[in-house]
Amino acid sequence: MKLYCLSGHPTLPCNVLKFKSTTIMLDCGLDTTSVLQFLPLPLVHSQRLSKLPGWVSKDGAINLEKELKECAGRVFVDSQPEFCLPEKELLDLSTIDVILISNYHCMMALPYITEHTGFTGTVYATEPTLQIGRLLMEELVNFMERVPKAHSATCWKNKEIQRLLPSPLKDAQDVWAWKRCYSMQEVNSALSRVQLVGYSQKVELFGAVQVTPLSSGYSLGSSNWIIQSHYEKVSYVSGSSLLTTHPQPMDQSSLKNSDVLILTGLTQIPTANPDGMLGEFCSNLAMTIRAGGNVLVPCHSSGVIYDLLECLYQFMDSANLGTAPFYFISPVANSSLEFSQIFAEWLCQNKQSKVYLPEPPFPHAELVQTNKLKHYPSIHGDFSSEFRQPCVVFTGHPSLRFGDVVHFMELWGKSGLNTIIFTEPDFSYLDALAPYQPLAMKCVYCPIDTRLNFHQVSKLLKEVQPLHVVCPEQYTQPPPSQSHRSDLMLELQPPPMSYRRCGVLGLPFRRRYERIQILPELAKSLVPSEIKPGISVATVSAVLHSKDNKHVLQPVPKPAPAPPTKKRKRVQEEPPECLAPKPLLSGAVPLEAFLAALHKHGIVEVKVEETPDGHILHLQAEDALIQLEEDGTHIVCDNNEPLRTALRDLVLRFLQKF
Amino acid sequence: MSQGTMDSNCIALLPGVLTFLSDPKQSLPDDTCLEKLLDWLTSIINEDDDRNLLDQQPCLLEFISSMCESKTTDPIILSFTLKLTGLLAATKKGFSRLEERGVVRVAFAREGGAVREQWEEASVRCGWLLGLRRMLEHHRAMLFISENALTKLILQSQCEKSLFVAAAANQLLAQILNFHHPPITAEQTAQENGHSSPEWITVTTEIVGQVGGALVSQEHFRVLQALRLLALSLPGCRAPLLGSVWRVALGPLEVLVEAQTNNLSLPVMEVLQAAATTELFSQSEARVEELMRATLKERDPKTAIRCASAIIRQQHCSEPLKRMAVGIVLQPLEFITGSPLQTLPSGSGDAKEVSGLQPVLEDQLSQRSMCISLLSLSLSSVAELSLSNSLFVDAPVQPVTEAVLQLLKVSLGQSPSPAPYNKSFVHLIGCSRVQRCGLDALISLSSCEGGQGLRQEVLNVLLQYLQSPDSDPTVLQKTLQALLKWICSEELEECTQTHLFTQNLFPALMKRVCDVHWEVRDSTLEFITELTVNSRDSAAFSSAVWGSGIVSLLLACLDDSESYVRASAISALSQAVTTPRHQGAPNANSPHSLPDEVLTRLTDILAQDDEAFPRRAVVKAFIAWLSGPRPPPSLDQSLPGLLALGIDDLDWEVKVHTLALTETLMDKTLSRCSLAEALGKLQEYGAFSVFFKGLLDCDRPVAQKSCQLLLRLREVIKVKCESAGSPGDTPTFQLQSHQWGKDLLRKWKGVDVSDWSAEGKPEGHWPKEEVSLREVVSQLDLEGMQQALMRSSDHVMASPQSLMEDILAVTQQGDDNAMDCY
Repeated sequence: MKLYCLSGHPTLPCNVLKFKSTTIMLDCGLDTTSVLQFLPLPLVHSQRLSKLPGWVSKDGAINLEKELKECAGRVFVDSQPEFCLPEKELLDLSTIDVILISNYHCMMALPYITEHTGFTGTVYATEPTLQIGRLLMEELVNFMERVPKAHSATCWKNKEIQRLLPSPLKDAQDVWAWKRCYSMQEVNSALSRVQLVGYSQKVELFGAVQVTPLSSGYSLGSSNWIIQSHYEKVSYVSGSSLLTTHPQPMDQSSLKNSDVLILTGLTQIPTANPDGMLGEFCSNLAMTIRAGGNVLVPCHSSGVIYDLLECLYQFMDSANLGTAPFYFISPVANSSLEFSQIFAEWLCQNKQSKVYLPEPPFPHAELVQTNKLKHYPSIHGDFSSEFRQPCVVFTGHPSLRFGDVVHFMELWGKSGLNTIIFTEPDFSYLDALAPYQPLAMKCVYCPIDTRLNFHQVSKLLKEVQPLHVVCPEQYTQPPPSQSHRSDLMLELQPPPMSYRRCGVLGLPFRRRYERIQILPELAKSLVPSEIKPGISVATVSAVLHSKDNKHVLQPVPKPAPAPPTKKRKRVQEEPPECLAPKPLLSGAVPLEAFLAALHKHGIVEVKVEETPDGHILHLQAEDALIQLEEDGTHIVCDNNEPLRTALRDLVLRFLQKF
Repeated sequence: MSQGTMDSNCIALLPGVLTFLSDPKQSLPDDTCLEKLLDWLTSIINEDDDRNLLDQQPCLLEFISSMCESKTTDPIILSFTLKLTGLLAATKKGFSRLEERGVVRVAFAREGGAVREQWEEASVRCGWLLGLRRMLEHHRAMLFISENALTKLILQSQCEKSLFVAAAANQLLAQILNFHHPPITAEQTAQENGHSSPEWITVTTEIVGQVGGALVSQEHFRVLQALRLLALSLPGCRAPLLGSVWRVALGPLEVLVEAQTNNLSLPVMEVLQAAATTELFSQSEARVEELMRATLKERDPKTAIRCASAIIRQQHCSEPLKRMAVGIVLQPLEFITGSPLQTLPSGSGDAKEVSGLQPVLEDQLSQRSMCISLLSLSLSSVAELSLSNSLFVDAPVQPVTEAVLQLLKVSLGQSPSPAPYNKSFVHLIGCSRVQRCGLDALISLSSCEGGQGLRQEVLNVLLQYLQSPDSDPTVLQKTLQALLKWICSEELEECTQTHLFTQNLFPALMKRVCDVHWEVRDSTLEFITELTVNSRDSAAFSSAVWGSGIVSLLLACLDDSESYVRASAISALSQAVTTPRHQGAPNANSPHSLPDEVLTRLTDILAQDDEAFPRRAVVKAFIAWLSGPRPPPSLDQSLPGLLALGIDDLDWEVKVHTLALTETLMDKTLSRCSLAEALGKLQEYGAFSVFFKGLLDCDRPVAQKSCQLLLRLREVIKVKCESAGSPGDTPTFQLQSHQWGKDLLRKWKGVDVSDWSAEGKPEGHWPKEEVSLREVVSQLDLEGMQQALMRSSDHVMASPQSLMEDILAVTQQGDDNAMDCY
């Protein structure tokens, strides 16, 4: 039973579990932080970006003018942004049987795994995860393809060159494994392998294990997974939330009694309380709008944005935001807003019940209806004619390297009246802003991460009590910047097993049982005898038949009737002859009674010696030994078969037979 | 209606009420009416000691006698009767009258009758004890208790299960122990005084003996009751009884302190506190202080801190003991922050004793709930004690402030360095209870001398709380209070001020003004108002106000959805816009005509806002402008309109504020010009209209205020005219052309002018067409009106007469009435 860790990112996991005879990939997260090393892709030609000087080493020895540009005191790669993929060399990806997806943020690497690796398995995900995951992939592809770059920069990746580059480029890990974005065709092909599942639906994998998705409370359709055989249970907890936001609440009770609980996807900003951050978001937004400035919110096109819009909907009147419009710009904006309204069964109770009124579950429908929220696929087209300031713009990508957000950064960055509010916790906001410096616009960092924090997770673990916890190594120590915060780590007994990228963990399992079925006709022939109240035992002779990880006891086939001819032409291959089995014994030999019985049989010279396991009886006259132990009795007497038989019969008298 | 007639009306109703009460078939309209009735009778007796109510109202005697003798009396009524008997027997005369009828014996000596029958009812026993207590005002009552050997019964009641009975018994026992009958005049013998009469001595000896027994008892409640009795009686106890009580109590008290019996430490401490107020404190053999010191050795830190707080509050207390108590109070704070706060000389016996508690404390601080509650207790004690300045004997203000700051930082999740890391810090992160207590302590410490050196650091921590997105609204409110205290406690240096206001405070305030929680917006706006009032003359403040853009945010707050916030925004804005612009203050986005613009906005709010709070705030803002040094330029022109709007408002508070505004205007005008000129101006403002409309207002406070102002006006006119020696010209009114004039005529002259047609007035005695102000104010019966208005509007509803009528109404409720009640 092993766990192969293909990603070191605790919130974008990609692990492979070998369990029983199956190989299961748990999530398929794509680490996109690598794009921060690249120059932004402007939608509209940018004078500033196009005139950046190329990078040449100080001594002039290395000239990468075409690949690297200097901007605001840092060096960026001038190429199509690339992503850091999960590790592909640790095991043969074609052997993976299934991929379980826990939420739409954790499936972005799917095309890299399912395409061109020989993967032939199935991907399991809930419907909202598939649909919204598709939107996010589509958006990503769209962002990249809108601004194509002819050349890919590769020289800088040369190890010898890379180590001479300025920080942070020289510290970037596994740069050779970085890959450009996939195509829409690859996305479609990858997603065609997805099989939809519902919460609590049990899916059998080759008869060996059963996998079940459970609501995790983090996003629409997000799930934790239970992977279990008859006697072992592994829980995979990834990106869960106990806060009351829009999705169905987390199912905690089903996680109980796990042998191993794999814990990933805790909050990335454990010190930021989502409620406080939401308040901070609203007040900064209101302050900017009231002062006549614009607000830019770089965000993903699904997820927290629904909660942000809902919060603003409630806050709008008291915040006195006047007529400032909200714009949501994304190639998938329309679908995202509409999808959120149709997955009623995946929403929290409160929102579900609205559907029966009937009302749209999310209030952004009303914002759209009243024209307070307008959505556009891009800044081109209708948007440019209807654009009004001051306004609030929600747009991607949160890395500020591609997407429509790049345009707004160029447009609004120079005025101190405007504010950019970061709500996504995935990127360091300072790194994201680096190529835009110097910046006059105000920057506010309100990361909203609703995933479990350490306090919640320790409560959860106390509740569900797994035997072992496996987690990324980052969770076993306080964050480096706050080493005094011992409350920001997992403190468990026994301590959690931690993993890092490329690690392989052997998972500790204590139980080694298999479930076996007995066919009815065989069962009928059994003669159980009760050895303790409620426990009966029977001996069984049968043939064990194993297929597809299912084990069945079948009756022993009867020997074929003897051939009519007396003459045997050849020795027939007969099934092994079944002798009537000897009866099984149970019980213990009571010492006093046994001695009395020996005495009765004329054996009087008995020396009793106490041993840790029982007693040894020396029959001195007969020169024999009887060892009475808890799980066995031995009679040692050389060359005196009658005595042995007599003694054996005496012992048997005290034991039960069946 | 005068008080006298009211009483006589009530007294006329009394027989009926008593008959009602004695009728077992009737039930009372509500539970409280008997207590109210008793209160009224008490007030009558207190008003006039000589009046013998029993002679005037023979029905009382009849009632008591029949109630005490009947065996079917309702326990509630019987209890009332006993209390009433005690009340009436509290005078010697009353006692004699009741004794003559044998009522006292039946009631209090339980000789047959209802009391003996119904003794099992707790309410009856309670009434018996309270009645006795009321009666115990003279020596004959004392004698009565002694002759009838009631002490034993009272002592039994002291440990009853019913807490009401037990408490009443304790109070009665305390009254017996403190019994004396001042003043002792030459004619009175010592026996009459009662204080040293043999009966009193016998009774008190019995009680004291019983207390001694109870204190060593194994029954927790008995010990507790004895301690309560001691705490109640000691302050009023006199020598020699005081000495003998203490002799009996001292030994058991020592044992109790030593044993640290569960939950008894605090009651013991109360006894010691009571003893400390007597002469016992100065007697070394009484060992009061020694025992107090011993309570500090309490194993439970929470109780030890409570005892220590009590000691520090103690007026008479030696310095070493106080210091030790301070040490105990500060201990949790000291332990958690690791900063030495002790005022005790190290190595001294006291210091060792205090540190002896550490292991228990350490253990308790490692548990989350105990840690939070101990620290909160320690911090609240610091807050409370630093206010009374009694905490800092050796002025460790600075280290204590530092420790509080340390704690507040830890609670924000910051690294506590340089303080050593303590495992308990984890419990404090984000704990708003500790934050609130810490901020309270900081607020109190701001007024202590010695902490000012830390001002900058305090302000830094407070600013972090203000900026923190996780601060709870209640925490933020306290943060703002603390900020105000620390900013205004002393003049800051100019450059520090500039940095504080411009770089840190104002950006944070601006964000908080836009907060999601209205409570936060509200308290921030209130803070801005206070800060402006306190700092308006500072150049740094001025430049922050005019340069930060806060004024435009405040303007936007006038449209807030929450009326409280709008009201606070009005106050803040009215203060902010009149902040002087110092030289060099930026002018961006804030034209000089801004105050006038704001003035117009505020007038609109008064006319249009649906809620009363903002409208009240508008009028108050005008008062502030009018009495302040720099009113907006167009204030004068806007006043007539504002006054007219204000006095016609629906809300009575707005009207009262409008009258206050008119008063300010009157004072200002009268102080500047001659009488005639001033009155002319006031008429132009419409001030008199405001006064008269107010006078006729149906809201009592409005009419009252108007009346008071008109009386003042009348006095001013009178004085000024007399000093000028001429009747003087006062403005004239055509009363019938104003609605208030017509109403005034109706009220003043009884003339209804509503039928007046435009063609002319009917023949007859009409008032003159034009009346002078002087004439109006002198002819109105302002004093009469004032007197009528002085009485509270519920004087009729809550009167004893109405109470008795209510009781009687139950009997008169016929079928017809009953039918109406569906």
